[in-house]
Formats: sequence, C-alpha cells, structure tokens
Amino acid sequence: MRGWIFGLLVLLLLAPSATMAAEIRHADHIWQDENRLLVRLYLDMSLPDVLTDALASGVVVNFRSEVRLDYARGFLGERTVKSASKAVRLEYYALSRHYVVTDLERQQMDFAPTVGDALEMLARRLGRVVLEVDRGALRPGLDYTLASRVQLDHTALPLPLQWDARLRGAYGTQLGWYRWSLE
Amino acid sequence: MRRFPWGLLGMVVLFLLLLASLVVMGDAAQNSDRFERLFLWLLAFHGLVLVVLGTLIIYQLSRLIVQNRDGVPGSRLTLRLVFGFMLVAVLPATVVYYFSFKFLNEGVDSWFDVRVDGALEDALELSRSSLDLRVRQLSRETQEIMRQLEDVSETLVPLALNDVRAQMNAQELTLVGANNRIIASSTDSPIRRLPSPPGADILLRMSPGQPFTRLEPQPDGSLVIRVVATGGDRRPGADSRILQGIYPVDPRMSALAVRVEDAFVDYREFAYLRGPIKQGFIFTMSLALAISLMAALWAGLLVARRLVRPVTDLAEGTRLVASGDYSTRLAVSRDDELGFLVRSFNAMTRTLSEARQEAERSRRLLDAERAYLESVLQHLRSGVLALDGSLRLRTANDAACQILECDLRAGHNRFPSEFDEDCPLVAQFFDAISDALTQREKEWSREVVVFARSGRKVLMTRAVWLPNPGNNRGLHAIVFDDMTEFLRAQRDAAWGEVARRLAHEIKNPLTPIQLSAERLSRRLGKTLEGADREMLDRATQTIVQQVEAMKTLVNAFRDYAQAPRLALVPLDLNGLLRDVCELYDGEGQPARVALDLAGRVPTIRADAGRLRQLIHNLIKNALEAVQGRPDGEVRVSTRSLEDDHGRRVELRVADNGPGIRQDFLERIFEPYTTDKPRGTGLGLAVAQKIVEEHGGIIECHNQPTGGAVFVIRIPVSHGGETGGVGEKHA
Repeated sequence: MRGWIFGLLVLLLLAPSATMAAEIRHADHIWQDENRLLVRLYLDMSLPDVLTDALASGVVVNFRSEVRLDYARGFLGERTVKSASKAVRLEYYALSRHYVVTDLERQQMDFAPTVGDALEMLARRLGRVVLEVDRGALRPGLDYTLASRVQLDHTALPLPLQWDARLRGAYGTQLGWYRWSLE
Repeated sequence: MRRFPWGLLGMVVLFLLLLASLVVMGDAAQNSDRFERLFLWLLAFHGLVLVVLGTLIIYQLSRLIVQNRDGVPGSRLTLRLVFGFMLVAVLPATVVYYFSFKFLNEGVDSWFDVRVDGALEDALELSRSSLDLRVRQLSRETQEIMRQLEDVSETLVPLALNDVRAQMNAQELTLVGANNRIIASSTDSPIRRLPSPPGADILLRMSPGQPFTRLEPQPDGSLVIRVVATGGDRRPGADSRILQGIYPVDPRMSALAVRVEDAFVDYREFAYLRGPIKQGFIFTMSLALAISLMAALWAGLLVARRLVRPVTDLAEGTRLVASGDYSTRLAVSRDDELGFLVRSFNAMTRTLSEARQEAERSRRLLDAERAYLESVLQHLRSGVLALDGSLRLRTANDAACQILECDLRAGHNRFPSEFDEDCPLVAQFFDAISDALTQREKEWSREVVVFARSGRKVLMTRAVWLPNPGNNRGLHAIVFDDMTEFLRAQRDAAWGEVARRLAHEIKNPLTPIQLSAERLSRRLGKTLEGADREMLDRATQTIVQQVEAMKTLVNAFRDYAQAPRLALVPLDLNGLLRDVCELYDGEGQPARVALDLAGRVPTIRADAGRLRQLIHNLIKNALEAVQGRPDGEVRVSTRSLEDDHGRRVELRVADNGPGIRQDFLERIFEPYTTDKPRGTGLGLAVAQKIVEEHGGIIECHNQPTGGAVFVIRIPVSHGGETGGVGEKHA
C-alpha cells in the first residue's frame, strides 16, 4: 500500500502534465461598424489523449477565447480599453455518436462525426469574437494593441478532474497572449 | 506560580484551525465555485502548516536525541513518552487509514457493475435502433417528397411544401436550389423564422443518391431528425435541388431516449472519473492523516515535556540533595499526583534540612563537650585510658602518657601488646591488669608496680567496665595515679618520725651510760690489777665505743629527720665539684676521681653545704663500690639540659664497680637500706632528700658497660647565668 501511495504522490506531483495544443496561427480584425470590431483568430487545435478519452466518456469540455484591446502607457505598462470573450462547449452525444459544439452565448450547435471535425468547428466558433468598441473614442496617436488567447475552462470540468488541473496544471491551455497592432 | 500553558493552547488552536480547514476543504471539493476560490489557498495553508509542524517536530526530536545522548536528566523518559505517543497515534491511524483506503478503493469500484454498464449500453442501443427506424422512415418519406416535388414548379413549391409538411408533421421543410438558394421553406412555427439551409459540412458528407440523416439534440432537450435528400427538376434547364426536412421526434420517445442517453453518459463519465475521484479522496485522507499525525506528534512532545518536567525537576533536585544541598525547593505547578510528589519532595528536603541543622547543632555541642572532656582529661594529673571491648586503645590523656612514659596517642586503636618495644611501662602496666580487663570485672582497683629507667613506680589503678548498649564491645575506663612520690614522701615522713623518736629515746640514756662506764673505769681501775684490770678496761672501752657508735647512728638519724633550713644562694656547681673533688685527689684514695665538667653550666640556686654533703655521699659511695679494683675509677660529670621540664643542670657520678643488684636497686633510696656491712643505710636516703629539697630528681641505674651511675638533675634558678669553666681532669 505504501508503494501505491508513493506512486500516487509521484503521479500527482511529478508526472508531466498533458496539455492541450492550441496555437493561434494568425489573427486579424475588421470593423463591422463604428462600434463593433470583429476579431478573427485562426487556430490550430488538438486535444491530449486524456481529454479525448474524457470527452468520449461523456465529460463536457468548455473553452474560452478572450480578446483584449490595450494601449501602451510607457513604463506604466498597458491599460485595457475593452475586452470580450467567447465560451464554447464541446461534448460527445452518444445517442447519435456525434460531437456537439455549442456556442454558449448564441446557443448555436454544430455537430461533427469526429473529434477532428469537432475541433475545426470549435476553432471556428472560438475564432470569432466581437469587441464592442466605439471606434471614434480611440485616440489617435496612442499605440493600441489587440491581445488574444484561448484556454480551457477549468471550472467547467468535473471536480475530480479539477484536482488534476489545479495540482498539476493538466489540460492547461494557458497560452500566452497573441498580440498585434490595431490598424 | 503556575505558568500558563501557551504551548498547549497554541497546539489546540492550531489543531482546531486545521480541522476547520479540512472541513472547508472537503466542502470545497464538492462545490466547483468554492473549489476554485479556496482550494489552492487551503492547500497552501495545509502545506505550510505541515512544513512548519514537521520542522518543529524534527527540531524538537533532534534536540531530544542530542539531550538523550548527553545524558540530560529526563530526556530519555521524554523520548520514550514521545515514541509511545507516536506509536499510540500512528498505529490506530495507520489501521484506520489502511481500511479506509481499502474501503474507498473497493467501495468506489463496487459502484460500477459490468451488468449495469451492459444494460445501459443495451438501452442506448435500443434507443438508437428505435430512432434509427424513425430516421430511415423519415429518410424514405423525404426522398418520396423530393420525387413529388420534382414535377412542381418553383411557384407552386411553397404551397406543396406546406401541404407536405403538414402531412408529414415536420418541423421544417426547406427546398434549396443551386448555390444554396432557398427555393421554398415551410415551418410549423407560428412566428416566421428564417429557414436554415443545410450547412457546408452536411453538403460535403452527402453521397449521390443517398439522403443525409442526423439525429440532433436541441437546446431545449428535445430531439429532431434532420434529413437532407437530393433530387432534381425534371423540367428542361432546371437545376438540381436539395430538400431538407427537420422532423421532431415523438416527445415521449425523445424524453425516453434523452434519459437513457443522460444516464449512459453520466455512468460513463462517472466510470471515467473513478480514478481521479479515488485520488482526490485519498489525497484528502492522506492530508488529514498527515496533519493528524503531525499534530499528535507535536501534542505528544508537548504533553511528554509537561509530564516529564516535574520528574526532571525531581531528578535534578534529588541530585542536589545527594550532593548535600538540602535547600532545594521545587516549584509546584500542578495538582495531580506529580504535584503531590513534588510537594512531598519539598517536605522531605525541608525535613532533611532541619534534621541536618539539628545534627549540626548536636555535632557542635558534642564537639564542645568532647573538647571540654578532652581538656579536663588533659589537665588531670591522673592518667586516664579508655579501651574498647577488644582491648584496643581508644583514648589516653597527657598524664597517662607522662606516667607510662609513652606517646599513647600515636598508638590510637592499637593493642597494648603492640607497645612492647617502644613503651616497656605500657606493656608492664597492661600485663599487670590484663586479667581484670579480660574478665571484664565491673569495677576494680589495684596497685600496679612498674619499673622504669628512673626506678620503681607505683601506680594506683582503678577501672570500670562500661557495657555500651549500642556497642557490644563495651568500654574499659582506667584511671591511675603515680603514687611513687606520695608513698616515698609518706615513707620518708615515717622514717623521719622513727629517726626523731630514736634520737630522742636512745640518745638520752647514752650519755649517762658513757659517763657511768668511764666512772666505773676510773674507780675500779685503781683497785684492780692484772687481768681484772685489763678486762675492766676492755669492757668499759667497749661500752664507750659502742655508745659513741650509737651516738653517731643517732646523729645520723637526727640529721635525716631534722633537715636544716636551706640557705639557697647562686652557686657554681662546677666550682663546688672541683673543691670537693680536690679532697679525694691524693695518696691513700682507693681509686681516682675524674672530673668531666661541661664548659658552660648555668648557675643554680642551692645550699652549698647541703650540696657538698650530697657530693661527698655519692663519691664516698662510689669509691666504696670500686674499692679493691686496680682500675677503679669514679667519674664526675656535669652538663646542661633543656627539655620539657625546662633548663636543668645534670650531675652524674659513675663508677666502674660491680653495679647494684636489681632487687636492691628498686629500693636503694629507702632509709636503712644498704649492702655494706658497716653502712648506716642512710647515706643515699639523705642524698635523695637533699636533691628533693632543691627541687631536683635523683636516679640510679646500672651502666651497660658496667658499674652504677647516679644522675642528679637540678633545675636552673630563674635568671640564672651561665658560669663556671668546664674542665676535664683526673
């Protein structure tokens, strides 16, 4: 039993964490009107096996993409002008053997027969974030930057998996912020 | 003053905090929001507490081990108690942990059953089959609708769609032309909503001639079946068409299927989370166990120290008492049995201290009494000896040493027989009384005679046997007095009285006897002739001579009995000796008289006439001893002495005659004691009397080389100056 406990501790503390790969290949933005800035993220996403298994076993996985509009204040750092996020849920529907991607804000559902298809749909959903910014309020001369990232929503995981997520940083998608200038 | 148990209080507070945090942690593990907010903080708190507790425990244990190695009092007991507490805490906790662990593993596993899993799979498959039937049916019907619409113009299509939708009870029917252009759409919703053409993902997956079907859950939990069928407009120049139908699933079937699917998913998810659930429980349980053990160990350390502290204090106090410090008092900090022990210890040390003070007082008193007794003993003129039951010498005073001429104190604890060589008088004395000592007569007295170099000593001895109840060996207390001088004085007085009476009673008739004899000679001598005359003359002559002899004897007795008053003047003894010895330096002397006078002899206060008589007596006595010996010699010597008796002048008159018989030597100074046929026996008695009149002593003994020697020691007068010039001549 002692060996089992030791193994458990080692597993908990020392085992390498399996992290989700989600890379923002490219990002751009487009003003839909004077108050809406559409940010488009082009993502390459993949899931670790453990999360794929979890998904297949009925675990619902939520993702969140965040977008932030900042301007630089010299040595004082940056200040966020506006931020927005989008939450998308990915789950497996056993009755139809499909993966379901749900935009949690718009309650729109996409159905995919494979994980790969589901991830593509997921990337599309996550990659469209609308930032409500008054374009006229942006002061000329300031250096505005857009920052974006995608991460797994730990809090939406079942509690037992949150142990792993918290203790070992498993399934972490804490990618760095992807930045580009607001043209 | 009792100290407040801050350590114990801190431990209790810490333990309660840990307990509360464990409860909060357990609660947080059931609630996602709380988990998110509290879990890491609680984990950090527990980790910090574990590290602090562990550090403290390791520090305390290592210190305890070092103290134990260094032999610090109480450390071993503390260590044993700590290990005991640890054992008491660890064993049950380990047992509980083991069974909890086992129960948790097996319990969580028992939640899952292969049959349940299979049943759920079957139920899901049943739902799927049931829905598949409906899907296939709708697929066929949709294809049939598509065929019916092939001959309908775009103008009439909306009407046809409405009819068909109503007939099919579809939720929505949409006919799409080329480029995803919506030709017509019909919906059951009273609120007009935009039709949703099939998405690109659907179009990409469609096979020619095969309709696309999909069961889709809806946000409201219901199910719909999407069917997309392809077809064409058979009229010339018309594009191909796609018909999408969305059909609701029967609510009852939908609800059942959704419930089955939910149950299946929940079960699968639960089964998948089995490992993490166990890990979470075991982690919490291990944390609780670790904290409990740490807290128990820490509590054990504190409690052990609290328990052992009085014992340690007692050990230290006992050590101090053993080293003689009876002033040790321990602080009473508790009311339990250990407190009672400490109070008893304090009472014991107090009693010991008082007893010691009392013993010290008694010892001082005893010392004072002993010193007093010692002083009394030392100043007694009587000799006092104490012997234990085995006849070992325990006590002797100065007088005893002086009388027995032996330093008896050096022989403390020795048997009398061990004094043989050094102290002959002691041996003689104990020989004389040994029978009484060995028989342990209760009380006895006897006159003991010993023989010293100075002569015979008479010791009046009294003794008592003191059986000591506390010591079976008992004690002989012996008191003795040197009665020699007293007896001699008594005898001298008796002899003086005899001499005075003799002189008085005998001398008176001697003169008439002599006169009568002379008258008889004168009267009858004229009348008688011849032989008668001669006889008369001889007889009267004899009478006269004998009367003269008797007068001489009587005068001698008178001289002995009636000593003249001394005329003490400073006297040079050497000069007097030279004057007297000159009388013996001439022809007709039986032997020569040699002088061996010391160079510087102190002046003495003496009666020159009496000393002259003394010297004459001794020299005449010596000459008579060597009479007839061709090498006869009388040696007269002087010397100065300084010893315990003060400064004295010693005069020695020695001869090389035959010496004196031992039996005669013992009473040589007694009156009327003589070994000469014509001696009066008063010469040496008179000599002794003259010496004693001058405060001196006279001794007589035989020389190892032959002959006898008379030794006279006369004290030097106070302030006496050294006078005289020594000389040596024959």
